[in-house]
Amino acid sequence: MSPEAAMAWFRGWAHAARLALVLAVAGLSPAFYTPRLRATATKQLYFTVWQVFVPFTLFSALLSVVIIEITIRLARGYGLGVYALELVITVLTLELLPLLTALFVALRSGSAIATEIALMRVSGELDAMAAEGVDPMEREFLPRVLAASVSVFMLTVVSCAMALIAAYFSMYGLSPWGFSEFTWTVAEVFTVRQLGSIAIKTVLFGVAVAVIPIAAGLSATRDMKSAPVAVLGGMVRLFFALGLIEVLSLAVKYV
Amino acid sequence: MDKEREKEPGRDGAFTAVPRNLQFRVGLLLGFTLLIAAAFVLYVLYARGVFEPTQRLTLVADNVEGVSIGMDLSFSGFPIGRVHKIELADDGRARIEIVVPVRESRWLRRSTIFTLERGVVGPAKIRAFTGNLQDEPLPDGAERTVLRGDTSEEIPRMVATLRSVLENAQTITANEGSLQASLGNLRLMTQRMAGPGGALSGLLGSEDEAKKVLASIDRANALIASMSGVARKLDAVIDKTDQRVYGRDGLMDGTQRAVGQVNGILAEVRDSLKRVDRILDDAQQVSGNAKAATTDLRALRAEVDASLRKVSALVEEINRKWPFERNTEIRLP
Amino acid sequence: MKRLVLPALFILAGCGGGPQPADWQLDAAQSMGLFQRYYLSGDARADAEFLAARRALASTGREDLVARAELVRCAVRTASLEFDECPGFLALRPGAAPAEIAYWEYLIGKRERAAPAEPLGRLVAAGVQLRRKTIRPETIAEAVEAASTQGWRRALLAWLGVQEQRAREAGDADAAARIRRRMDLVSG
Repeated sequence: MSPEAAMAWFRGWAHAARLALVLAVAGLSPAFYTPRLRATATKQLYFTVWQVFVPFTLFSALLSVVIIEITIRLARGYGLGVYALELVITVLTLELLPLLTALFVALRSGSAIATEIALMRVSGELDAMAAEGVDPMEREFLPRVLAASVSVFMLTVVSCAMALIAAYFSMYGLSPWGFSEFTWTVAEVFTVRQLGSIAIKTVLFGVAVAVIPIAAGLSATRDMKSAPVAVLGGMVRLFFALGLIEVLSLAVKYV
Repeated sequence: MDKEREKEPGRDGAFTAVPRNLQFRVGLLLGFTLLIAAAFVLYVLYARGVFEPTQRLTLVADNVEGVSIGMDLSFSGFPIGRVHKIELADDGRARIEIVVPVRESRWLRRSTIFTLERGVVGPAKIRAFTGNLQDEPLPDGAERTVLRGDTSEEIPRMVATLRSVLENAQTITANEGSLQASLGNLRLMTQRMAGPGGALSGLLGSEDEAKKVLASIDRANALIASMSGVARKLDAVIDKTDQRVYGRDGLMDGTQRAVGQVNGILAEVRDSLKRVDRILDDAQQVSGNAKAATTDLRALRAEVDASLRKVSALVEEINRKWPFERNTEIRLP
Repeated sequence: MKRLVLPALFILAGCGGGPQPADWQLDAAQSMGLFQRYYLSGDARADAEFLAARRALASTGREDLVARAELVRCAVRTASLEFDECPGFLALRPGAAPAEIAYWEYLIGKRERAAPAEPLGRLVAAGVQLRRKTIRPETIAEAVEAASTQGWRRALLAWLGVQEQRAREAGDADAAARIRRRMDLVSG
């Protein structure tokens, strides 16, 4: 890797970080929440979530069922059924599903956002906006970030709920008599600490999924050929960012 | 599918189709998700017992190694409480605070025994045993001493025992120890045994004793020899008596009138003995090499050949019935 | 040792004080025993012994006893494969007891009789079987064994001769040669 490429890489991270900061400030100030912003955000949210809600729910349900079945069956062979339940719920709902959801949203919406922003840059739209005195922060970026975050949150919640239901049915079938044991296990797994960590992780994922593509898109120039490069770079950075968040959360929780 | 599309003027003339009830749909989804999230949170809170009354139980132990917060208190294998806090009291003993939901507290009575077990590997287990379920219920905030069983504690004890055994073995086999003394005695014994006095001196302890014993043995032998001499003399006497009594001019002859019959019997016996002599002679002649056998073998062979010739016809007939077979017929003596 | 049993019994009876055996009894018993042994062994003293026994028995004037002695002679000769009509017995036949006549018939081959276990009896039985032509090859071999064990030369030579003839007629030349060598060994 040439020094220029390395510098460019680091610069990309720096841009993303700066943008994130700016967006955070913007997001936390109520002045930004104009009706137009809300409308745009809603639109973005719709495009991000509506079509995939049911398919993604089903997919996560299927994945959960398969993993839980395998794990519980194996563990039952060793007489460790209850421990398996605790283990599988922990791994699925606290680690695997949030990450998977974030990756999915990143794949779908993140790439779309990056492309959109890059195209805006290429087409000169952003320059036009700047010329008109319109703040792209309000019109384009923040709504997308909000939408992405909310969609990550929504999809995570739904897939985790599906995982819990699948776990119950895998372990106890249709009988209601395992409920107290299940409840006990849930209580063991979802301590305050764990709940807090997953909440934070979801927020971070959500922010990363939008901010990094936007920053990547902004790095495009008026040259059309720069668009794919920008998007590519952005997606890779997003992937690493998600991984980093995950590793950090693990480190904080278990080490 | 009735999606009324609103054509929004996009930039650069592109159009994105947006349904009319977009906001409704988004709202729907959002509401649904929030509902699930809320339900989940409530469930977790319920699971963690936030909503149910609990009572506290404190267990006091010397050593709470292996106990962690969040561990279960089990009764008959079912978890009925959770460790909430572990702390060190002022008297140096550890206090385990356990939270028990009130609905499970009916298993805990005043007389319940609590144990803390720990294997060599793995976490500890806190268990409750209730003998009498009709006893008074355990009051809230009760303090109980927990019985500890720790197999990993046995190991130091085992090691200590082993060490003492080894020490004992060492003292026994030490240079001044009893074992060496016994071995020394044994060595002395074997030396004596191998010495001039032999086994005897080994047993008796000294050569002189051995010599004494040997001397006495010799005397006994001499006594026996002399006794046999006496016995021989006695034999001779008996012989003479025999002769005198039974001989020709003996006692019996002398008292012929009284022993007339006996004489007769004796004469018969004499005859029999003579006959026996003759028979014995013949027997010897027959069975022994007293006289050379008067056998002319050539003549014998000739005679046998002659008689065989007479019998040959018979043999021929038999041969016809039973042909000769070398294996069955010729037997080595 | 067996030969001493009879005389020993006589002596013991004598010591017991009961009726003593007569001289003739002792002589006859002893002579007959010797005759049997001498004859089967091919010892030339056999005839002398037989005559002595006969004389002793004849001194009693009892024909049955003499007939019995003749039968013994006939049996011994049968054992040595010298078959005849027992002329000595036939001469005394009128005075013979039925048991003796039955035994003579057995020797002739007209009657069957269970063979006793002891060697002479077996040899006699084998001889009778040969005479009647009912003998089996195993019996021939057993006869050879018995004669060999007792050292009875005459009988052994006779039976070996039979085997040799059988081998010769069957064409087994070296078996025959082997038997002949054995016969040569026996007869010096």
